Amino acid sequence: MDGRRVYSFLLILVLLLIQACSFWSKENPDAEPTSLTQSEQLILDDYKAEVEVGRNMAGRLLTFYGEYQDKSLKNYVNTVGSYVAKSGDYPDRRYMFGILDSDSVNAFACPGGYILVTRGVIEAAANEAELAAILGHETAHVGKKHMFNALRSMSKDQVERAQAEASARKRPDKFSRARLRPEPDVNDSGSALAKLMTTASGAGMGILQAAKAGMSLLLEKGLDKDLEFEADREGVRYAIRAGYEPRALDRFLERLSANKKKNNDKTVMDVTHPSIPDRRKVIADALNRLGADQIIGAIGKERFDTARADLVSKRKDSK
Amino acid sequence: MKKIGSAKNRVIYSVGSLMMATSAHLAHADQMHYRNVITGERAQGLGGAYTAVADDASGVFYNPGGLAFAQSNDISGSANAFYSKKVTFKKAFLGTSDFKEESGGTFAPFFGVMQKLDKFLPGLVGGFAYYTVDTELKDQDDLKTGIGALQRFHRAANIRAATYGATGALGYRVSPSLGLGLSLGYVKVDELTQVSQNYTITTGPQYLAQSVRESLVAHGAQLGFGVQWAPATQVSLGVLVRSGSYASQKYSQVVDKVLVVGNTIDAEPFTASSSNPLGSMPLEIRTGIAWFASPRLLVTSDLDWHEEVSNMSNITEKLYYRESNLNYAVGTEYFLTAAVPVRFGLFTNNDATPMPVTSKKGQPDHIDYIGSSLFFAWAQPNSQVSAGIVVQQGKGKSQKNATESTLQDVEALAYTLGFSATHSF
Repeated sequence: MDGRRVYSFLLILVLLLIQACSFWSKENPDAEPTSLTQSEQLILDDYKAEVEVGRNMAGRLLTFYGEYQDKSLKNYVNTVGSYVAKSGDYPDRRYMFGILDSDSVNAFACPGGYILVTRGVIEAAANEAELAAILGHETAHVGKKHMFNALRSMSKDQVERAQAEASARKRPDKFSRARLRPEPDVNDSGSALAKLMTTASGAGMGILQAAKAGMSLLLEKGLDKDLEFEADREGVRYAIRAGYEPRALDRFLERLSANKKKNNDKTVMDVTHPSIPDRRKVIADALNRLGADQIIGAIGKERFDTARADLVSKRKDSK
Repeated sequence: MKKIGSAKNRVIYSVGSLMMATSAHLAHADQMHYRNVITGERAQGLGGAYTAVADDASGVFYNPGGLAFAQSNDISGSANAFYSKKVTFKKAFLGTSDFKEESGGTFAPFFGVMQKLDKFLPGLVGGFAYYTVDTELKDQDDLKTGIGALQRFHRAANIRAATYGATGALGYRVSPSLGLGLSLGYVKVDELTQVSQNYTITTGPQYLAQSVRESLVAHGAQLGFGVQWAPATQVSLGVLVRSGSYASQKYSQVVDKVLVVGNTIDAEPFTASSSNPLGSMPLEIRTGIAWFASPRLLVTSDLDWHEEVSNMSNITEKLYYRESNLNYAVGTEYFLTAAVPVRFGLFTNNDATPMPVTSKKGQPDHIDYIGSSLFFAWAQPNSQVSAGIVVQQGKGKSQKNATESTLQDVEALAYTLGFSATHSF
């Protein structure tokens, strides 16, 4: 065999080997799909339940407050929120941000990544750094599953009580109540999908029950104080990591507190969150630990003002 | 213009005891029954007894006053409702054998949306609905040969007809127990009938070849005023008054025929037209009562009256004259579980056409129906799907043979398979 023939033979052999490798590396369409391990399946079920509860809660909040219809502002909030979330400890989770049409200053983190801020928050914030810190706080709630874990740890009695309180909040008049039909829940027969979700929720309560109880936590009871402090600490950290000015959340709360004293009003946030002075102390500690004095972050005033220009002009017109 | 069924035409049609394609005997968009299609997701299961409930998107049609009691925003649609009707004319063919007419089809009888408008005025609710109240689709071919002197009879009939509307409505909660509503809608009647028939009779001999094309298109507007009042917590009373008028109506008929009797040939074509074939829209008054016995049980009842309409052109008087008409409906809903309600309704669908009498000839059919509906639904927190059947059984009289005063018994069976979905948001 001369040299050329040997090379040709080797070349063909190599090509065949490559082909064979690529053939065997392909997925065999007839092969059984890789089944999840029991623990993987539990994680998946858990996540499904979390998303369902959060979706239901977000839907209720949107129905309750209404959505603020400003597509470009919503896109902007999503951009800032997603950026902060990607800088957080749970960048792989899914986050969706929306704006509630309410004057009150509040933000809600529903399980599954549904985060809603009120129009009042955007009006009250002075710059993008403050908005980013608020969204960071809510992102931390979602990432650490504060709400979902709180719901799971509730006893059946607690759930029922919270559910009843949530229902009583928008109690219809007696003529409308007479027309109410039974509220189908996940445990009813014929509801296979809902049953699946029930199983997945882990706590044995239905998605609807969980969502109602969650609404009670969001609007009336609030989460445990320590969880709110943790969200403040983590939110500040995420915002700093994203490159924002470290003291933005503190300044926002300071201004909010001053306005409250002036107007002497009490909002949902006052009921559901620790007092502003307590929160500011926690934030100050966190900033010290993070060495915030050495950090120069972005404020994003111009971009923020451009994004909310329509909102501000509408508010001026309405006044 | 010539009056349908005039003496001259009767000469043309007076050949033996055969069915003729006179207008009175063609199928039409059914102006004469007011409950051919029970529309609306929940209403369908309750046999249309919905005037005192009407708190979903179908309230646009049943009673806009009920919209004021809406609990949520709704979007609702009925799709793929298969419809079939069979009418049997007893011994109508040469006085010996039955003659059957069948129609069927698939159509979307209802689509509606409802939105609470508290933002503009607390207690205000708006709605829009598209609905079909009648539909007919026939594609029939009948061939008979060698029956006595009748050598051959062949009749091919194609009919498509529909009556449908699109309405917007507002409901307003005046007080916790009182809702008022107003609706304004567009109505269209659209029908096209094409029949060709020929026959040969050995005596005479006689031969007829005839084709008939008939078309009716009418556009109109309807205004409805609805009230719903709860005299007690669990009782609701509803009233709807609806009237309207046609903005335009157009009817035309062309009959082309060749009749040979012995050595005589008659081949005169015949046309007729009218700009007022239907006359006015009948005034409609619906009243209803509902008992919300418990969250699981609802019982409703309706009375539905339409006024007489006689002011159409004399060309179509025989065809479209409508007597005043009264219908009843009762319905009940029971939740087997919180997720599975079952609905059952009973209703009448009486004919507004006068009952044929032996002292007249060429009269249209008169069929009174009794209907029942049975629907099951699967409810979820924000949505509901339902499926079921509406069956209507009718009995009446006809005078199929145009030249004779003899009456025939008529039996009819119609059924609709309904699929609906509602989503609340």
